[in-house]
Amino acid sequence: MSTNSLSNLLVYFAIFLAAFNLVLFSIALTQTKKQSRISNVAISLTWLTGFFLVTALILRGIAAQRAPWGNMYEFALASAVAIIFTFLAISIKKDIAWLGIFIIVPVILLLGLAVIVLYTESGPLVPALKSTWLLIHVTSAIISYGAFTINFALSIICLLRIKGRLKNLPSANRIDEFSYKVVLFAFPIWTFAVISGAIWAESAWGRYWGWDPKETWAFITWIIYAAYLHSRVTIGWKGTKSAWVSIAGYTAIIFNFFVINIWVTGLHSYAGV
Amino acid sequence: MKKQISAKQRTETPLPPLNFWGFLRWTWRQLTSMNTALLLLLLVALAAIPGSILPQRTASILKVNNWKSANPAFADIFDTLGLFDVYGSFWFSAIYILLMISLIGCVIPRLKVYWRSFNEQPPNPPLEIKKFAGYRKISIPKTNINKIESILMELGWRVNKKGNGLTAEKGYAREAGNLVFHASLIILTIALAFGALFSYRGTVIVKEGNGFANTLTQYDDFRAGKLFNIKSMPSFFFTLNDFTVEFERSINQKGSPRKFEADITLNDENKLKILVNKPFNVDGTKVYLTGHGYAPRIEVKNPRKEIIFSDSVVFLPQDGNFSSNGVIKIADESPQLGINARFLPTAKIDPINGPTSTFPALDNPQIFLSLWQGDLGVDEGISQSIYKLDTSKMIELGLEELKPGESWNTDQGYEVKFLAIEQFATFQVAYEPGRFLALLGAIFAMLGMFFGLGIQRRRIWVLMPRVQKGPSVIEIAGLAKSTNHDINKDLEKLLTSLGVKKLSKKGDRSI
Repeated sequence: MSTNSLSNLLVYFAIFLAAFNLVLFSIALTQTKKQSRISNVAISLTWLTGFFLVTALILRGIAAQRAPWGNMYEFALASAVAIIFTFLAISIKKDIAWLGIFIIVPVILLLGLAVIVLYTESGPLVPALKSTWLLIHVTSAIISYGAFTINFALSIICLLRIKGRLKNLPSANRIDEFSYKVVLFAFPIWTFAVISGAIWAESAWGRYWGWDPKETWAFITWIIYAAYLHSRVTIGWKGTKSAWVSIAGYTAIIFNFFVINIWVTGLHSYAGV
Repeated sequence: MKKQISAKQRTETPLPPLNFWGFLRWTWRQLTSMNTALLLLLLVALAAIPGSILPQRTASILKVNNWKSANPAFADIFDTLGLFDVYGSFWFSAIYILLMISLIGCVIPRLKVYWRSFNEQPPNPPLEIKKFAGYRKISIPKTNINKIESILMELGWRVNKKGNGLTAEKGYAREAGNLVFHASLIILTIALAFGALFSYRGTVIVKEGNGFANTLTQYDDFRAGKLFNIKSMPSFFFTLNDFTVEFERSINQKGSPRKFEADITLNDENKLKILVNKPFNVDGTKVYLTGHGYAPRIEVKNPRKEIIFSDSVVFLPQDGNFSSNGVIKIADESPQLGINARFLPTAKIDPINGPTSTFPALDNPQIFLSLWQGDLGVDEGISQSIYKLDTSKMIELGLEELKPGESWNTDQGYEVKFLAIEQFATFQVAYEPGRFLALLGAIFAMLGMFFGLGIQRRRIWVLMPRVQKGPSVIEIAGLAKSTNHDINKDLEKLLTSLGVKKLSKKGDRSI
C-alpha cells in the first residue's frame, strides 16, 4: 500500500472514530457528574483520533517530501489536527469533556469536506510555495485557526447558557472567561501568522502588503478579534456581546478559508485547491 | 441601582460647548474615546470588504474594465465611489487616518499616566483585607515584615511597607507592552504611508537574449507613489541569458509548474540566477521573477520576397496550459499587414473547442495564424495595445497552422515563416522604501502584544498583626486588575518562599 493511500485510510479511521465519539460526548453532556467514566473514554478516543490524523498528515508529508500543507485538503486536515490538539492540551489540566461535542462536530464537518470536496493526491509544490516561510506562516495560521474554532464553540455555548440551556455545563460567566483566555492565546499567533505572511509575500511577490483578497480577510479577522479584546478590556463587554463579536471573527475566518480560496481569484488561489 | 444611574450619567454625551476651543476639546474627546475607536475599528473592517470582492485597479485594470462592461448599470457609480480602488479611496483613507488619530489620542494620555505610576509607590496597605481575593490567615516559620519585603522584592514585586503591613504590586510591563504595541501600530501605518508615497513598481517582459535597463521607457507597466522621484531609480541593466521551466508530468497535478529559473547577467558583470522566491537587490530596488511565456520567432516576406518582419514576438499566456495569443503589426508595409495568432505548446484539436493546448511544455508546438490586410489604425494618434489587432478596417487574407520550421505562402504572394520558439520572462521591479520601518513596527508590535496580553497587573497585601513569639502569623490577600488572572498563584508562590510546605496542591480542574 502506498503512503498516500495509507494516509487516506487513516483519515477515514479518524472520521469513523470521531463519529463514534460524537455519541460518547453527547452522553457525557447529559451526565451531571463532572468526571464520568464515559467522558474519560471519549477523551482517550479523541487522543486516538488525533494520532490517526497526525500520522495521516505525516504520511502525506513523506509522500510529497515537504511540509504537508500545500493545498486546501492538507490545510483542512492540519486544521482538524489543530482543533483536536488544542482541545486535548486543555483537557490535560481541566475537565472539559462537556466541550467535546462542540469540537467534534466541526472536526467531522471539516474532515468530511476535506475528503469529499477538497481531496487532491499529494504532490510537489508550485514554485511560489517553496519557501521556509510556508512552514512558519501556515503553521501559525493553522494553530490559531484551531484555537479560534474552540473560541467559536465556547461563544455558542456561552449564548446557550445565557438563554438557560445546557444546565449541566459551567456557568455562562466561567465559559465567557475561558473563551476570552482562548482568544488571548490565539490572537498573538494570528498576528504572527499575518506578519510572517507579509514577510513571505515581500520575498515572493515583491510587496509585503497588497490587499490581495486573502490578505484583506486576514486583516478583517485581525481587526474583529482586536475589537473583541478592546471591548472587553476597556468598555467591559462580556457575555452575549462578546460572544457575538467572536462569532463575527470566526465568520470572517470561515469566509476566508472557503469563499475566498474557492471563488475569488487572488494570489493565494494557486495551491490546487 | 445607584451605580446604574451614575453609569448612565457618565455615558450620556454632554453637548458641545458653544465657543471655539470648547468645541475643539469636545471633538477631540469624542474622537479619542474608546467607543469611537471601536466604531472606527469596525468601520475599517467593513470598508475593506468591497475591495476583496470587486476587482481592483491595483491588481488588474483589465478585470476592472471587464467588470464595468459586464455591469454597465453600476460601473460609473461604483467608479465615482472609488470602489475599484478601495484601499486608495478617500473614504478608506479617512477611516484609517481617524483611527490613527484616535490611537494617538489614546496613547499619549496613557503614556503620561504610566510615567507617573512608574515613579509612584504602591498605596499604603489597608487595615482590613478580609474582603479581598485569596484571603487567608496562616502561620509560617518565624520571620518578620522586613524579610517578607525583601523576599517579595526578589520575586520582582514593587513593595510599599508601612508599619506591620505591606502592599506589593507587579505587572507594570503589561501597560508598557500595551503602549509599545499601539505605538508600533502607528509606526507601521507611517511606514505603509511612506511606502505608498515614495514607492515604485513596474513589470517588464524580457525575451531570452534581450536585456532590460532600469528606465521608465523600458517598462510595460509602471506605477509610482505620489511623491516618487525619478532620481530614486538606481541605474542598472541586465540581460536574460536563459530561462528554464519544468512542469509536472505525472497525472496528479499535471501541468503544475515545478521550477522557474532565470539566468541573467547584471551590468555585464555578474551572472545571477533568479528564482521565484529569490529576488535580487540593487540599492534597495528588488527584481522578482513573476511569470513567463513563449515568444515564437516569425518572419514575414512580401510578394517581392523582401523580409518585412523578422522577430520573436511575446505571446501572452491565456490559461494554465499556455495557450497564448500574440499579434504582429507591420505598419511600414503598404497596404499595412496584421497577424492574429494563437500559439499552443502542446496542440490538440478538440472536436468541440477547436485547437487547445493540453500541456504547458513544448511537446507539440503549433501556431494558428490569420493574416489581415488593410488599415491597422495606428496612424490616428490613439495609443493602441500591442497585444490587440483592430481588424475593423482590414480584410482577412487567410488562415493557416504551422509547426516550427514550416512556412505558409498565401495566394497574394506573402510568405509567413515560423522559425523557432523562444521564451520570455516577466520581472517585477519594486522599490518600497518603508519596508524596513514596517518590519520594525511589526516586530515591536508583536513584542508589545506578548507583554500586554501575557502579563497581568496585580497587587497583594501582607499584614503581620503584632510582634509574635514562635511561628509568625500573617494575613494575605490580593487583587488582580484583570479578571483572567488567578491571584492565588501569586499568594501560594509567596507562601512557598516563606517556607510554608503543605499547600493544597490538588489543582482546580474546572475551567
